[in-house]
This record gives sequence, C-alpha cells and structure tokens, in this order.
Amino acid sequence: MANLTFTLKEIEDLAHKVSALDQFLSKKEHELLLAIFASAAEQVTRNKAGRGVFPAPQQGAGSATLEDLQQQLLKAYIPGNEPPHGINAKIIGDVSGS
Amino acid sequence: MTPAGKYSSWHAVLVAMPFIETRRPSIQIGLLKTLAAARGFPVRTLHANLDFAVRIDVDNYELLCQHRGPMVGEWLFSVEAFPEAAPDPDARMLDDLADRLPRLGGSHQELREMLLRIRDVDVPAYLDVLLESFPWQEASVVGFSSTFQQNTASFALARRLKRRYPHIVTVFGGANFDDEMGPELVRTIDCIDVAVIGEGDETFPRLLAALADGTSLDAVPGLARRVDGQVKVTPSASVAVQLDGLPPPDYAEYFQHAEDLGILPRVGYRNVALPIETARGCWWGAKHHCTFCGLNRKAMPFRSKSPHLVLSELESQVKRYRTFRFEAVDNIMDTAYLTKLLPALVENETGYEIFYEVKANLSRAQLKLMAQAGVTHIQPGIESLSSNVLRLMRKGVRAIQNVNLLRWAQYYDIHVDWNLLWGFPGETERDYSDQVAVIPHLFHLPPPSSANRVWLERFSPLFTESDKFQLTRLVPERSYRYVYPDAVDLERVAYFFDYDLDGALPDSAFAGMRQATADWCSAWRASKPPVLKYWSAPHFIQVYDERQPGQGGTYTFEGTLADLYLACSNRPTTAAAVRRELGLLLPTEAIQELFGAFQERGLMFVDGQFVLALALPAVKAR
Repeated sequence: MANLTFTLKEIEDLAHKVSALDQFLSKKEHELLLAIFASAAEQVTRNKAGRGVFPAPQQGAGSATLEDLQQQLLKAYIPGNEPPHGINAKIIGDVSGS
Repeated sequence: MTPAGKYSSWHAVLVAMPFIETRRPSIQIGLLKTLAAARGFPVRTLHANLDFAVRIDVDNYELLCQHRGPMVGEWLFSVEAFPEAAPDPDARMLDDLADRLPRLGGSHQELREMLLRIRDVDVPAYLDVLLESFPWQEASVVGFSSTFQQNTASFALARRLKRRYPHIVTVFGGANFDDEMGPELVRTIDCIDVAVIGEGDETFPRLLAALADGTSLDAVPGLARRVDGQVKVTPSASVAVQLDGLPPPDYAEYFQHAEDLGILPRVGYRNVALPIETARGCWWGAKHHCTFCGLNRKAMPFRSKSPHLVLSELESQVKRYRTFRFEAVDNIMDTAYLTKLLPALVENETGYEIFYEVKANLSRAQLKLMAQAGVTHIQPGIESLSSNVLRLMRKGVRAIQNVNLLRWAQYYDIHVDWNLLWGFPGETERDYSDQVAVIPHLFHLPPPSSANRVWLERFSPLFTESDKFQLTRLVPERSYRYVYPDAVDLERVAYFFDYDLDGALPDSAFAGMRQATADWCSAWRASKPPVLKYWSAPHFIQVYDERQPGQGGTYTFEGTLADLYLACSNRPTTAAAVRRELGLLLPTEAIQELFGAFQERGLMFVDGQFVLALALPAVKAR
C-alpha cells in the first residue's frame, strides 16, 4: 500500500461529514474518535507540494503484536562463537615450482 | 616597516625546558620565533628538553611528562632553581606522596633512588652542559615558554644564565604566567626580568623592540616586571589576536637538534606530530563554561584560522619537515571546518593524519567526513556516561550522544582518547551504579584513557565559583609546598588545587567505576578485542555478540524487531519517532517496552526517552 496524500480541503470535507455523526455518539465514543484522529495526526508529514502524507503501513507490521515480538526476542539468541568469515580462496594449480 | 638590519645584532633565544614531550616541537617558541623574525630580530630556538630526555632515558622522561599527579618534574629542578630556599632538600615528598608518584618501574625504594639520582646528579650536570654548549653570550634576550611542569627547569637555567651573563634579559610567558600567577612569580623569583601575561604573539615582538630601542616598557601591553621593588603590570592588549595574522611556526631547529641527539632519524619517515593552531578559545565555553575546565582564562572568545590558510599551512609544513602527522592544539574544532575545511581535504586527496579535540555531539556523517579527510585521532569531551553528571558539568551533551560518537568513531577507524571524570557537586550514587551496569554493554567500544576524580584547576568555574559549588576547602595541591620557597604565595601560583566538597560522594562510591573501567581496558588488551556487530538485509538482521571473551552468541531478528533495531542505529532517537518513521501500528509504549527488552540484553543504550542501538555494522566503510 502506497503513502496516502491529501489536501487541507479534503480533511475539512471529511471533518464536516464526520461531525454529522456527532449527535449519534456517546461521550465515550466521541472521546475515542478524537483519540484516533489525534494518534493519526502524529504520523502525518507534509510533502514538497504542501500536501499532507500518511505513511503506508509496513508490510507485516500491522500484524505484529507486542506479545509476538516479545516471544521472538526470547528466542532470538543462540550461543556459539562466530564462524570464520572472509573468502577462503583456493589455490588452483601447482605453486610449488616442482 | 622595520628598517633592514636595525635589530640584526639584537639576538634572542627562545627555550623549551623540561617537561614537555620529545615527539613534538613546541608551538609556542616556534611561533614566537617566526613573529619576532618577521620584525627583523635574529631568533634561535632551543628545545633543551631533548637533551634532558636523552640524559635520563627518553622513556623515563616521557613517563615523567605524562604523569598526572604530584609535581615530580617541578620537584626535580627545585633545588637548582632555588638553591638555599628550596623547600625539600631532604626529599620528604617522595615518602609523603609515595602512592602517587610516576611508575618508572621497580620498588618504591628503587624509584626513590632513581629520582634522587636524577635530581642530585643528572639535573646539575645537564644544566652545566647546557650552559657551556650554547652561544648564550650572543643573546640579549632569553625567553622561556612555560606550561604545566616547565617552571623550575626554566628558573634553574635562567638563574645560571643571569649569574654568568648579567646582560641577558630573561623573559617568561605561557600558561603558567597567566593572570595573577605571572606577577606573583615576578615578585618572588629574581631570575625573571619580565613576564608576558596572556597571549604573547603581539607582545613579545613589541617587547623585543622596546628593549632594543631602549624605550619604555610601559607602552607594551601585558607585561609584569619589578620596578623599584614593586611589581608593575601593564594592562593587557584590548584586542584579541586574530589567527589569520599568524604565520606557520618555525620548527627547523627542533628537527635539527632531535636528529643531532639521535631522537629522530635524519632520513625516512619521522614519527613526529607537528603542532598546528587553527583556533583559539572555546565556542562552547564562551556560552556554557564546563565546570571543571581551567583552560582559557581570558582567551575564551573563539577565533579560528580561515580554511584556505589552514590548507596552505598544512601543505607547506609537510614539505618543510617531512612529516604528515599534525596535532591541532585547539581546545575545540571549529564547526565551520566540517563544511569548509574537511571537504577540501577530501577533495584534495591529501594524506595527512590529523588530531583534533572535538565536542562529542558529532553525527555519523560528520565522523565519516572526518575519517575521509584524514582526522585519524580525536579527543572528544566525553567525561561521563551519565546524562545527569554531564548536566552538572555543563557539557551540553547527553550520555547517549557520547556513546554514539564512540560507536561511529570506532566504525570509521578514528582513534579516540577520552576520559571518565567523577566527583561533581550534586551527583548521586545512582549516577554511578547506572554507569557501572552499562559499561559491560560498551566493551566493544574504545575504553577511556583514564578514569578519575575531577582535578580542580585554576580558572575553572569550580574554582572561580567555589562558594556556589559549596567547596569547603580549597588549597594548592599538596606537592607545590615541596617545590616553591616559602616566599612564593602558592595560592597565587598554583594551577591545581586540593579541595573538599560539601555533600560530595565518598571515594567508595566510585569503586565500582574503577573496577568496571579497569575490566573494560583489560578486555581491549586481549588478543581478540570485544565485538558487537550486525549484518542486515531488509527486515532481517543478525547481531554477533562477543563482548565477553569466549561467550559468543548470535541474535536473529526479523520483521518489526529488525526494523526497530536498525531504526536506532544511525543516531539516538525516540520510540515515538521510530513509530512514525516505520509507520507502525504498535503503540509507542509497546515500542518502548521492546527497547527495554533490547536494553536488558545489552543491545541498546537507553537514556531517558532516547534510545540507541549498540551494535555496529559488520560491513565497514559505508
């Protein structure tokens, strides 16, 4: 999914429509909606054209939970010394001169 | 303009006496020679420290130069400097301060005998030879530059010169004569005719001209001298010296003398660091003076040399002296050099090796640029791995920035000299238990060169604002009393002070730090240094951890965990910033929790809300 860009007017139109829902929302639901918007606003940046940009969610990032990640951390370590690195070039041919 | 030949018979000699190191010439006398010669004075320089080093063994001499503690170097020349008035002919200092003497090898008794032999045999013989082996009779003026432990050796030679050649005017200057120290030494030490207080670049040539012309010294700024039994001090120059007006120092006689003595080879590569001065003062200290720093009494305003002049000086000095190593004597690198000097060095593809003192808030990109430009050695003002202690010091950096600098300097193969300090007003035991806990996580980074209680220096805020910092005792460092005669007011002459601090932590609070840093240094002396490095692919990394010898292991992280770790590698960041950068749906608190888990494994450094991955990329030079 690509980044989502938007203009101020698009946001204002959306806010206008959402405000129509206000009369149907409980106080708790109203607060929840505001919190969602506030959280989303934290992720917005502005591009060179002055448009707002929501970053695209990372692949797989949405599905990872804290518990999943903690489990991965617990299993991440395997003891053992570093294997040798580097290229072990083989000598081809006779270099002994005999 | 100076009339040609007007001063051609007015010879001056500038002397560098022990104790300064042998592997670099003195920039002070090298620069003053160039400045005085430009006004028409025939000037010679004499690095007499080299003769003494050869006499007592160069390695022993270097140990004495590098020793931080009692003024052993000053003590060695005290008897020759102040014969009847010397305070310690019986060598009581060697027993009183036995546990703080330089380690020259052997038992205490052997060390005692060695130091006594140097003082009672080598020093007089050295001075005798020095007096006979140089054409002093031609000199009208002999100047001594004195910094740290160069006072008594200079006084000892000056005393003999005045006795043998009464016509010689002795001139003293350097950091040891700054502020009230100079006038007090002039008041009490007969062999000093004139002292230059503060920067000598303008004053010294003007003094020579006034002496040669026989005009009044009252018109020369920044001098102290005895007049009718009183010390007369002329006001210092109102305008600070601008560095673009300073020519390259003349080191020719240093090299000649070092070659003659066999300290340097006459041909081939010469392991000498040429001092260069590209800036004076401290741009940070001008805003926030670090509480322990005693440099720059009146010279705090920052001035630097134009980059094109620095480039030209580097090139001309290399060609003249056949050494490619430079040590900037600047207190702090000019940040403008990051955009104006270093890129030019990269572009010119020069092969210099340069040392600089730097502020510790350098980024990865800046360190990479420094490495490419040939800055192979730095001394950052790290001083602590606790942000609270750094705040008390007024360092203007956080611990996490210090760690980040150590990481990227290590990655780009820049050698780092740094120190750990403790003993600051307001610090807590927690500040140190936290550092002790984190140090094993940093074993793959270069350890400190020293770790100690802060020294109290004249001119530092701890000294000048001692009431504010609640110092309950402030007295000249103990060894001064074994060096100077009673007539000298040590309160006015000492640069280092002993002190007590109200509410200070006891020494026992730092025992853990001593052990942790000793372990760190020990780990770096092993044949295989500690390592913490990672290999990475998109959303996948492996971290190899062998910070403890023989206890290697590998962490494998995929997906979000890998992304989280890599997002904290370039620079210190925060959970909220990482969440935004990666577009994660996890709450910021959950990310912080994961950072905590990385920290528990020693894979991340957490400093308040800031976090930093500790492993370095395994693949170099990016």
